Amino acid sequence: MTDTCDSDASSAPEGESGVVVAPFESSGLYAKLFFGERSRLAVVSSRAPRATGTGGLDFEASIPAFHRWIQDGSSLGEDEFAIDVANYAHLHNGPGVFLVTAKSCFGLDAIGGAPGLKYARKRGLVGSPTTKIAAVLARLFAFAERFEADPGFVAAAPHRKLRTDALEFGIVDRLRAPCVKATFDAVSPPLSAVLESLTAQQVNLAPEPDPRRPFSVCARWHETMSASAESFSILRRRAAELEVAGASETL
Amino acid sequence: MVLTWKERLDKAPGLSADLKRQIDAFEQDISLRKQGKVDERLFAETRLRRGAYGQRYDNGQRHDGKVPRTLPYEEKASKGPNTVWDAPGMQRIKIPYGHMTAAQMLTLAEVAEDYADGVLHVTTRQDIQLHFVHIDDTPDLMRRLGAAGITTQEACGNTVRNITACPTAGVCSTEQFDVTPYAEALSSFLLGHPDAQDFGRKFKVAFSGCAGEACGLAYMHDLGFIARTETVDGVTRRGFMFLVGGGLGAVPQKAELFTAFLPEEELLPVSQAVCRVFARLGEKKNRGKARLKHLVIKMGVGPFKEAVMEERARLTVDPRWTAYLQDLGAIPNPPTVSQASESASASESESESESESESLSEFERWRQTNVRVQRQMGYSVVTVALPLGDLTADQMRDLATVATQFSRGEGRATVEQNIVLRWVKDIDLVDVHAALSGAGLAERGAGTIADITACPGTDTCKLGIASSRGLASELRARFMERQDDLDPVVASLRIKASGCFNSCGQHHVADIGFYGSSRKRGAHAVPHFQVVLGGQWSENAGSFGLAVGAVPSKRIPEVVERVTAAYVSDRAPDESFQTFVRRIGKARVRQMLDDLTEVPGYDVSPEYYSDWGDPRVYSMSDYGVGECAGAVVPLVEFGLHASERKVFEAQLQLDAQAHDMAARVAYEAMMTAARALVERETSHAVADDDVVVREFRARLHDTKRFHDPYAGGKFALFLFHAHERLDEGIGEAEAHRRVEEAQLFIEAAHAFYERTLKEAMPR
Ligand code: SF4
Repeated sequence: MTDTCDSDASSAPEGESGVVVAPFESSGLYAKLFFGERSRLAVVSSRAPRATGTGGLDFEASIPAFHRWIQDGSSLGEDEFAIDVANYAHLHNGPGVFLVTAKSCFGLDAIGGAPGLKYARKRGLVGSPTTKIAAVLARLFAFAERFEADPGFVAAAPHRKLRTDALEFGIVDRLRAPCVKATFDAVSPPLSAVLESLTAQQVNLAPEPDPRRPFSVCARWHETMSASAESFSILRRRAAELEVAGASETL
Repeated sequence: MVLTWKERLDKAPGLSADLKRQIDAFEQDISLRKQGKVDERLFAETRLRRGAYGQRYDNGQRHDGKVPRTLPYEEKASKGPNTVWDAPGMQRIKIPYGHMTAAQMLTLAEVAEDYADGVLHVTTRQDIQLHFVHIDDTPDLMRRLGAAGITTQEACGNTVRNITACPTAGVCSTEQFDVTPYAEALSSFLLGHPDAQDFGRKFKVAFSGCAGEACGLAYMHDLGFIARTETVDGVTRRGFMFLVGGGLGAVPQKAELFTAFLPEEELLPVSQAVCRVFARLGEKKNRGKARLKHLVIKMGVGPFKEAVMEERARLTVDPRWTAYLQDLGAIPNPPTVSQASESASASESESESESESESLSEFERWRQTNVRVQRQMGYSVVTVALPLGDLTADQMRDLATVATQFSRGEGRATVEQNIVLRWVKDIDLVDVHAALSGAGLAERGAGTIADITACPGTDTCKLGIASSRGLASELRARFMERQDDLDPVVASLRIKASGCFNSCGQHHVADIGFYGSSRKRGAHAVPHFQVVLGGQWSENAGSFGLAVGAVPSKRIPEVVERVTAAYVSDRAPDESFQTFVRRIGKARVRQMLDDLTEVPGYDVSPEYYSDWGDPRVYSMSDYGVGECAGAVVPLVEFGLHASERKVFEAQLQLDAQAHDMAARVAYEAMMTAARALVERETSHAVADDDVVVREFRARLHDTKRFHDPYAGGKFALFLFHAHERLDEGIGEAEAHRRVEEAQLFIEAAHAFYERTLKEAMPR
């Protein structure tokens, strides 16, 4: 995967001419916040043979925090409930550790060599593009809020803060959202609008260039706030407002 | 409008019309089950036969470490007994003998991302499994795989499972000959074969190229084939040492010798005959006694063999039995790399190893454990060691690229949950290592004690009792840390872990094996592993290990330490681990491990009360009911259900004013039901419609057994008339009548079946 968030402009693969896309008919939307500069980080596991470098991340350390999340029954979103915790921390640049719900995953993930916090929806997302994007972001920010406030989670990334100047947005659905320019063209306007509304800044979008991978874009803007539970709480509330506002949009 | 996958792949060349029909039928079953129109047991076995398996907590219950919780799924029809519709499931994908092309790897990566959690898991049967898959997504998943030439048909359920073979078949220096085409031929011959549909349990087949190595594990299979040649009058013939009735499970059974030499042309027909005997005489009611091994034990191998050979004599010749043998000569056997490039390769590696010590020493160390010379000079087999058998979709794509570039565009999954790349030129090894390193796939230690096999265990399996993956991960990490310092005799041992006694991790044939169990201590349950020592991996899983007792899960690493240390210090020169264990005996081993079996109180050492990788307080209260083989749904019920689906299709044709087609499909619906009842009577598949009608008339109609208590024999007449008038032009009125008659005939077939079940019940 090309490092779309730490490099300058990339372009989306052209794809076959006349390819029809409908990215927002999909429920497979995800959003991800990064830990620090991607290139400087090494994801390690306390159990894996790779040496633990300073600034390394230990995803397995987050497992008890995920289980506590299930035990304390905190809300994950009104239509979701937790099922279990999956551990793939042994995989290189993999999905790490995640909480599985019936419709989504909340995870610490390193896919594409970019460690971060991810909310990935799988099913049951309804509404306009704005509503869907905002719903996914609201849950991601709620996760980030919990992450920053819970020492159990922080143990997984003791010296790292989440970045607040970039995020990755993607749609894992090769039928409706193949990784081609047409999808990028369809996704960019509503995604930019939501992110600009959230950050009050101009946002640059760079698409994933490898057509074999799921469609994704990296969104970047100038840093505006510190990575704290409070900041993510503000972003979560704003995203939730946009989710509601998006309901009045025509689909 | 975006096309659906069904529309988009309609013309895909890889997706055969038959597979398309099967997947469409499965999709229809999904929608019928949602409407409550298919029995849950029948639906469960139907989905299992398509590889769609249950996953832990799909009964809607989970213990969170503090309290048991009912997961608040929406009320819907179940997808099987105690199985919630929306609960994530597992999809098993058949990869015959582990062979995948690069294009198939790319498709597998895509479906892992689109429908699962982005991880591909290699199983101990060379399959690929995906987890966290929703049942509604499975038809499209199957279509996409089908278009790439991959099937999930009969990946689970009481069927012929994925046929396994040595991953180095064709390139191995100890093999008699390449078993690949034979494994391929038997896989496709038995897939969906009518004689292999009515088993009481699963049925496993393996091929091995030689007797001495482990790769094929022929002795632990229902059917095991070990390549052999025989020379008579100067003519050398190919064949197999043929073993029957082996299996692991709770009580392992070593296969019996059926014949020392089964000629190659008899491979398919004799296998078919075994299937018929197993379907006819195998146990159907008591699952615990339903594997082929039980039948072989019950009958004795001699009488079993007689029954098979009698059956063989009765078989109608099938051209597929030998058609593939004509092509064997055409299998390309690529030229070896020239001596010149071979020596260039060697000297290049040497000079690099002197100059670039750091990275190259890593390369050399990897080469020692992960590279094996091929029979063909100048080529090597590279093992890509996968931690816990897992790889990400990105890694699978990277591997496809490496395979395309360096190994003739293919890879093979292994029963040790790795993937091998064959035909890698020696001269390319440095580049292959570099490419694999970039993908995080150059972990060394393949085939060593650090390369641990583990079944899914409590991570995702409904039957898991302890965390086999958690344990394997812990042990692996410990060995990886000190693999350079390991005594070579320890490094060469194998560890295998199963989450329960069902042995999916193949612990019986490991030097050091474990299977999950649970023990009560006060108010708490404590995860344990039974320790099984001295199983034999080599000689095709030649003997099974010795169970020496249960030890708390958290103390298993100490068990490994003590046992391996004793082996290093007390072994006789050249003594194998198996011999060592048998020599020192169970009593001494137990004594060695005795103190490790102690479980301190919960207040003193709470860590004993949770499992590896799972901090919850351990509990068995959410333990599920397994689907390892599904319920035994009699074959006749599949037939009756298929007939209902067909009559529904006939109705749709009527609605579309396609009268000829409606009448034709209505006839097929009756024929499907009649065939199901006839096959139940004869215990044999009956392909020909004329024979079905003749047998139906003789066995069920003329004897009045099929007669309705009130309507008499009229329903059978519907079938007979339709059969006679098949080719005649059909008008609208007649088409309507035939669809209605088909409906009534199928009702009568159900009623008849139920009457026979009642009659068979003990009073
Ligand atoms: S051995 Fe037991 S826990 Fe492991 S996969 Fe088989 S049934 Fe599940």
